[in-house]
Amino acid sequence: MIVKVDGLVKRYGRLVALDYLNFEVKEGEIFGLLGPNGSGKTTAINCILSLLKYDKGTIEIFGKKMGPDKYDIKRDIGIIMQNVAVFDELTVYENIYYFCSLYINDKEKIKEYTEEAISFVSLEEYKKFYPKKLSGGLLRRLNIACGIVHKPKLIILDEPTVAVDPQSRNKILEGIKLLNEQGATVIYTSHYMEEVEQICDKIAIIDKGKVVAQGTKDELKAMISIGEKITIETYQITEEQIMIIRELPNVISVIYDNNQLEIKSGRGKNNLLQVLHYMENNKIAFGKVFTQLPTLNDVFLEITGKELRD
Amino acid sequence: MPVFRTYFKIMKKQLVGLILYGIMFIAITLLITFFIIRDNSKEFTVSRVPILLINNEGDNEFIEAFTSYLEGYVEFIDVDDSDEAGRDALFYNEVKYILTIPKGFTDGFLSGEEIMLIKEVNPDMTSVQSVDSAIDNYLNMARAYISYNPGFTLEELIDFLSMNPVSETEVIIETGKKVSLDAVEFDTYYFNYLGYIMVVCFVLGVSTVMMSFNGLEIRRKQFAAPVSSKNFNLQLILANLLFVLVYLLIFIIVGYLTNPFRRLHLGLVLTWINALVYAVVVLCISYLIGITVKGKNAIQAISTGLSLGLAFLSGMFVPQQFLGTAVLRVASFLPSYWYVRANNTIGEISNYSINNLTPVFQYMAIQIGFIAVFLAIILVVAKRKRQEAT
Repeated sequence: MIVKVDGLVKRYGRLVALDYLNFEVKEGEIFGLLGPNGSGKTTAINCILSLLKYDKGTIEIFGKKMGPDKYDIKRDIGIIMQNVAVFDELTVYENIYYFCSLYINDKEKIKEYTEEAISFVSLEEYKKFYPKKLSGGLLRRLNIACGIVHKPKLIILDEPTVAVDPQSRNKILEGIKLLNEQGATVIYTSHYMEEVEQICDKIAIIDKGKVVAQGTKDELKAMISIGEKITIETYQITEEQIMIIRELPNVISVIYDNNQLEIKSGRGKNNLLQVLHYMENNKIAFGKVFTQLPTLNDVFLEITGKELRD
Repeated sequence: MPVFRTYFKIMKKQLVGLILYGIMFIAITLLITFFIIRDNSKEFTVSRVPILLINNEGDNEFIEAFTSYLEGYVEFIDVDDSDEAGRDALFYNEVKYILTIPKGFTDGFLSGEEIMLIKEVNPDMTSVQSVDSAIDNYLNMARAYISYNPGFTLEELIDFLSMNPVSETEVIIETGKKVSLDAVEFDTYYFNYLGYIMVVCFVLGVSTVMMSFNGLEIRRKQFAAPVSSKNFNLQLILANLLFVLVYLLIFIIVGYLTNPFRRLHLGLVLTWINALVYAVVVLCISYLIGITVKGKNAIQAISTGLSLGLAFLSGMFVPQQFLGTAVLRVASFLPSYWYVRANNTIGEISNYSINNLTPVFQYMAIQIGFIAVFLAIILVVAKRKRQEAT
């Protein structure tokens, strides 16, 4: 086990930020912490890194109890914060070199690792640039390079793609996958369910400082009743007809809004066909039709009763 | 020592500014000090203070003798015959003194009554002291003659007063024999001005670097790294001290080499020690600014404002003896005041006895007291900042 968080409690006065939080991260996993803003993801990360004192619980990393002075543990952790943390007065190369030198003493090794990190995030052309000259996406890549330059065994990324353009976001996500393939264990926090779904092997959904569900994305989706989401574009449907569709077998809910008929149905075959048959038989004209499997947002909605981005 | 090395990499970005300030300082200081020293040592001229005389007594022999005596010290200026015109002339510095002789002054004075001349001056004008002194001399002398020679006629009194030797003073200036004094004067001026440039450069350099290291995200990343806070802070303190020492050393060497009367003496060594103590005070202030202020533009503004404020209040540009008492009272709460005072005291010492040196050490001790206060504040702020970061 690389990380084991057990019964973690953190209070800010009366506010309980972490409420007996539990999760485990196995070696080689990309572990996602998914939750809305304010759910306790960053607080959990700060506690894991010993940046924050907590009230109860234990945190073990690499099988040892974590603490502020556990430098042997810290040496193998890479951290990439939500906000870019680099020196404006240092070039791209100097920034990466500095953060590497906080972890490694051998000068030659620092130089070698710095070059490798620069090439990993494809910043070779910008080595001598100062951060102010870089675009938002390039800055994020520099931030990542500073966090992974010392080749840590555990990489913690706290919402690294906030306010990043899609192209840079994809590059960052590909990079995280590559680091994982190279042997690093990753903890990835985000409130973007698509990202977490895309890269994480295992996901813990957090709300109000608690893990409300945990597992692989398929395991999480299997926990809820919705099996399929059907969306049909139609311009002429009566309330009565909607009521009838609602009564069809396996249908959980029907919403008609903005000429879109959204039907959530349970797991089963022919969900779409039975709806289309009904519409055809009743001469209800329809346009585009598409179906979707449930998302993590549906999982979150069903478990907590609110949207992930509330 | 990655933090130590990075400190100087970041400081390198401020180097152009620091060098420019240094060159400007040296050029201006040398220019000013040479002018001041030349002015002080080569020539002496009696300056006559422009005054307005309002004679309500009217002309008589005593008043005529008194005013003709005063002509040796003052220049009588004619102004319209009204109170308002006189006050306007005083306000606009056309006259520096309004002397009013009240009606009945001669008879009253000669008969030994307590009768006063009335004077109006602008506050804090040093030049009026020579007029006061001349008037006091004349009247005191007249009073003495009257007391000891009750039978004197007015003519005899005026004759005796006109022979009074105090009316003329021969001033002899020995040029060419003041080499050692000029060396001390140069050092005093140079190191007083250095106090100003230290604030500009240290705030600009140290505060900027400290602000970079104390950015919230950077600090969190550093706390997460396998470097203890103690080690991290030690590297920063060492880098700061080295910067200050090198900077000061450069100015000590430049000051010594550019002093045309250079001579190594105990006073100069004391001035260096005083500068070192003050440099540590300024370092603490700069450190504090670096960990509290947000934004590099604010540092630029603070550097300019603080350096000029301290310099003007503490007598780095204008000698302390010309500052008003209220200003000096406020200035005594500033470390720069004690730095300048120590420099001035060192400059006035001709005999390095324990008695003469005691005030110098006292002024240095007060500066060390300021260091202790600033360090305490830094510890409190740093602790709060650490809590903020985590």
